[in-house]
Order: sequence, then structure tokens, then C-alpha cells
Amino acid sequence: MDNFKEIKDSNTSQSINYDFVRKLVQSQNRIYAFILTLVPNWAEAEDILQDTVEILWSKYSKSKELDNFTALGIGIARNLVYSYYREKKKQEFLLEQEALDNIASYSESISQESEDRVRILRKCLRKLSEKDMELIRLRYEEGMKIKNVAEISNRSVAALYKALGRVHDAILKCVKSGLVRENYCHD
Amino acid sequence: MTDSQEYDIKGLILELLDQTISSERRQKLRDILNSDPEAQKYYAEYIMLCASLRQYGAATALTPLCDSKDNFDYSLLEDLANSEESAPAAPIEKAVEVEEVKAKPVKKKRSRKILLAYVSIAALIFIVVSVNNLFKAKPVAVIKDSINAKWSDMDLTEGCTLFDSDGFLKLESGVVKLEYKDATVIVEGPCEFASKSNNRIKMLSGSVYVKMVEGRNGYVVETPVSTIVDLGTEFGVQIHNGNSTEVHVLKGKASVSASCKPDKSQTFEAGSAGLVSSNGAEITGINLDKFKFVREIDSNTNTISRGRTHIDLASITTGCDGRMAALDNYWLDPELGLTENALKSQVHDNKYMPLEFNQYVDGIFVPKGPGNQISSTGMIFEDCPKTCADYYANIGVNPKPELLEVPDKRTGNIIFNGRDYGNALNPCIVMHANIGITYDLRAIAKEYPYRRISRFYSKVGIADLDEPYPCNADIWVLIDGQVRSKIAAVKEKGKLLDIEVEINENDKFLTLVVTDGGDIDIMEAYKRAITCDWCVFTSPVLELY
Repeated sequence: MDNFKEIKDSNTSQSINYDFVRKLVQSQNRIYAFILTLVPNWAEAEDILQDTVEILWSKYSKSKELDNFTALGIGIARNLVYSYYREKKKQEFLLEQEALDNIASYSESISQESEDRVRILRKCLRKLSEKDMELIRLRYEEGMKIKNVAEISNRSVAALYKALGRVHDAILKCVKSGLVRENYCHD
Repeated sequence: MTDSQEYDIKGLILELLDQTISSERRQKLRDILNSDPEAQKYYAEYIMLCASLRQYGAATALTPLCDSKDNFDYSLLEDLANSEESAPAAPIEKAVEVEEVKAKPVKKKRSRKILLAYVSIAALIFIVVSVNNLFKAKPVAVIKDSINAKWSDMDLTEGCTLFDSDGFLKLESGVVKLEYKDATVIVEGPCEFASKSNNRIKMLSGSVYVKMVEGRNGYVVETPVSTIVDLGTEFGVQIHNGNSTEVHVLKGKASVSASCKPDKSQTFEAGSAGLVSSNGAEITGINLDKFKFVREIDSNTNTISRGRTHIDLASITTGCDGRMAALDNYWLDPELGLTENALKSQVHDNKYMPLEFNQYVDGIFVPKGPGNQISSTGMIFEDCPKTCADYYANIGVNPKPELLEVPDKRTGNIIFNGRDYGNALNPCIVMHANIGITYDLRAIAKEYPYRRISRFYSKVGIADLDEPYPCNADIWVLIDGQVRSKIAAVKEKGKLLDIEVEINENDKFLTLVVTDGGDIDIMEAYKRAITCDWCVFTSPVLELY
């Protein structure tokens, strides 16, 4: 692809490697989703993602050829998450190691279906009512917290959590049934 | 995991991600996850869904809409990288109960800022290229119904919304009913189209039928060679191979312009149709085909309606599919099959004559008495009266008068109540006694999927061809060999009577029979049992449900 060339960044005199970006495009969301299941905090998960990318870049700049970029990224992310928890022993959401391992395995397995899930998710979003779509939009496009959505919509926080839970549930069921139809569903 | 636990865990996860979770509820979630593998799996799926939604949403705020990945402008990468480099650090919302992450040592080889740029760029491209944002797209239509719809790479079902950013959708087969702001549009596959807005559709191939909401107008259909603007109407558009485009207006008016001469539009009114040439330069008038387009569908009853309520049995008799008009002057001889002669050419052996060249007509025969075979499968007309076992004329569809006429003895015009029969407007089947024809209902039904043949109906009578001799005939309608309707001893010429029978889904054969009425048969001119028995079925139809 012609666009994936290496150019000089005028401000930093460092170059953007488009081949690396391309690999990252294909993997980043899977790695990020994987991290988020283990560190359910948007900001912290993004930090760990950036650390993961840093290490990936370090490996890439040495070898230029990275086999299975996504699997490598998830492996790096898993180690960084465990390291993160070791350093944050007082963190209240620290799960037991067995639970953490299980969730990591599930997440890794689910992430392998990522492309199919994204495709099916698109279809599922079409099936939402206008009202439900607006709720999802406010939550995820506007990035609003539920209490803020409650304020502008004159609804209670509890009602909105319930509504959001219902919408998520509907989407999740839709995605899972879509996967079953396509024989991708894992036990 | 029980239903109540599943319910609990949903709320707990949302609160956790929002960081509004209390210590007590956080502990509850941890206890569930530490002890229940099912909950762990559900949690992983749920969080990953939230991650996907978050990633779309976050990128949506940054990205333009894009119909195709081919349109992605990679120069954005450089702009974004530059802006990431020069932008002030954005404040990061801190987690309520999360400690600071230990700072990483600064890497000498590569600045962290450029890596941040990579992350942003990757997210941006992912959304624009792969996801084709739905949050910012405008909803333009909703799928209200569909029958056997197969999309090329989508699974759009009833209730799904179409967006202006969807680009071209390919309906490979089946029929879909779309509801736009002021119009209902029926799309018949194969068809490739894009909904450009809530009152505009752009087609690359296929057929659509547009029905405006009463009192509204302005819906636009674009094809490669034309633009059709509704002026408060119902119209159908069909694109042929090579892109020439037919427009058929059934109600109101529509303005049609050819793409190469957009300033010279033509207005077509109800009952008219036009053809835009494949080079987009000419518009010519063509005959309206009011049954060409699917006008309504109902998946509950699995019905597709093209506005047609009946099958023309005269058309079927001539081997056409019941939509097209019957062939004129078409004759079937019970001994020879297809023939050009109106009258019997030789002595008949009274055997059933299967018509293999006509997929809808099983066969024809001369009824001679009880036990007469009336189908290729061996069905019997048990109640067939004993006849003279002879016939005079072949079965004719829309006969030319001159073939029936005998100068100074008989005219050839079939007229009932002052109306001429034997043409496209008033088709007829002539069956002079003794003769019968059996239709294959299943073969006919195959031409009309999603609909059911519910009834045979015709008016029938003895044509008055100015012969000064009496007539007497019995007229029979059978289903699978059983008499369903009979008009006995028709002795009056020129008078039409109604004849009809109900038809069920499991019925296989419809048989029409005309017998000689049991007259004494004297082998002299005009003294035969069949004399003057010019029985005519006028405008015979199979009604569709």
C-alpha cells in the first residue's frame, strides 16, 4: 500500500512508520478490549495500551518483522496488567489470580472473533430503537456518565442504569446469536 | 450464574466502568467473579462489548463519515501525528479509587508522544475504514417487511434502520419493503441501491416501486441514466442490463429526465410509461405494464402482490404464463396437438392427448362417456355422460373469425351482449362439444410463488354464429376428476352464464369439459348431437389469493 510509507515528522524529526500503524490498526482494539476486561477503568486501560504499544514498537523497530502482531500485543498487555496489579496491591478490584487468568483466557478467546463481532455489532446497532440508540450515543460518543445523562434527560440514575443494562444486554444477545448463526460461537 | 446474578452483574459492571461503584458493590462484584466461571465469561463479553462501543463512540467525535475504505485520506495521519505532537497535554480523568500508575522511564529512542499518535491514528483508521460509523450517520429508512431477502454482505431484517452512510447495498434476492419519510419503497432483488437521504434512492441495478404518502411528493429515484422525480404518485423503475431504464407510472405523475439532457424532462401520467436509453440521451414512450413491479408484500401471509388478482386462463392455454396476453388464433387438436386448423382434421381415437409442449396444460381429450381419462396421471371423469364420442372443432383461443366462418352458412365473430370476444382485451376459449382440456394447477402455481390459486371463474355461453339450428350442450368444471360445477342443457345462444369453482392448495388438475347434451346423434349435416354447440369461455381466469 503506497500510503504506508515512512515519512519525517517535521516537528520531531522522527518518522511515522506506516507499516507499524497498519499492524496497529488491525490489532489495537482487540488489545485494548482485552486490557479493559482485566483493568475495568477506561483511563488506566488506555495507559496500559500505550505501554503495550511502546513495547511493540521497540520490538518492531528491532526486527521489522513481527509474526502475529495481535497475539504478541495481547501477550505483552497481559504481562503489563499482571505487573500493574502487582504494583497496586491495595487496588480494591484486584481479583484472585485464578479469576484473573480465566477472564484473560476468555477475553483472549473472544478477541479472536473480534472482526466478526464488530461486523455483527454493526447490524445489531441498526436494530436499536431511536431512544436506545440515543442513550448509547450519549454514553459512548459523547462519553457522558450515567449521572450526566440523567441530569439532561430528567430520568433517575437507577432507571438509566437499568435502561443501559437492558440495551447492552440486547446488543450482546444479538451479537451472540449472530455468532451462533455464523458458527463462530465458543462454548 | 442465575438470572438475578446476571442482572446484578450488568449493573455492577456499568457502575464499575463509570467509577461510581461503591466499595460494597465492588466487593460484591469481586466475590461473584472470584467464585463463578460463568460470571467471569459473561463479564469478559460484557466488558468487551462496552470497549467496542466506546471505541466507536470516541472515534466518532473525530472522524468524518466515509462510505468506503477506499476513500480514506491517509494524509490525515500526518496531520494527526503533528497535532498530537504539538497539542498541550490533555487532562486525564483520574479513577476515583485507582492509584497513579507508576511512571515509566522516558524512552530515548522514541518519544511517548509519537506512540500516543500511533494509538490515536490506529483508532481513527479502524473506525473510518472498518466500522463505518453508525452514530453520526443519519437514519433515512426502516425495513418494514421482507420476504426471502438475501443481502450480499449484510443481514438486514425487519426493523433495521438504513443510514445515509451505508453506501450501496446489494439485495441479491427476495423483496424488501422500506419506509422513508414520505414514501414506501418496495425493492425487488437482485437490486443494488443506496439510500442517499430520506427522500432519495440511487439505484445501480434492479427494480423498485415507489408509493408516496397521500399528499406528499418529491421523492427522487436516480439511475445511471435518469432521474425520476415523483409528483405525488405511484411508479416503478426498472434498470436493464446496459442501464436503460423503464419508468411505469400507475398513479399521479412522475417527471423523468435523461442524464445527458437533464434540462429536458418529460412528465409521465398515470397509465403511461417511458424508456430512457442506455446512453442517457433519449426518452421514448412504451406500453405500461401495470403488473411488472411488486407493489406490496406481507411476510405474515408470505404474499407478494404485483397488483394482479388473477391469471388469464386463455393465456395459460396458449402456453403463456397468465400475465401476458394470450396468443391469438391458437388451436389445439385432440388428435394432433398444436394445429393451425379450427376444425377437426381426422377421426379421433378418443385417447387422452398429453400436451408436453405446454407446461401448464396437462392434456386435451374427447369425452365419450363414464370413465373417460382426463389427465396424464390417469384420473377418470366417472360422471361423464355418454356422448356421441365425436367432436367438430379443435379447442381455440382468440380464434380468427375467418377460420370459423362458412360463407352463407356461418359467421365467425364471437359476440356476446354486443361485445367482441377473441382479442387481448376480451380473451376467450372456444370449446365446441365434445371436447375437454385439463390444466396442471401445480405447474401454473409455480409461476406465482407466495400466492395461492383460489378460484376458477369465467362466463360461458353458446356463441351465436347465425346458424339456423338449435344447440344443446352440457358444460362441466372438474377438479381432480370430481365435478365441481355443471351447467346442463344450454340451449340458448348468445347468453353468458357465470361458472366458478373454488380451488384449494392441494388440488392438482382443473378440467373444463363440454359435452353434447345427450342429443340424438344422426350422421347428417346439422343433425348431429354436437350441432351448433359452440361453447365459449369468455375472459376465463384463475383468481389469486
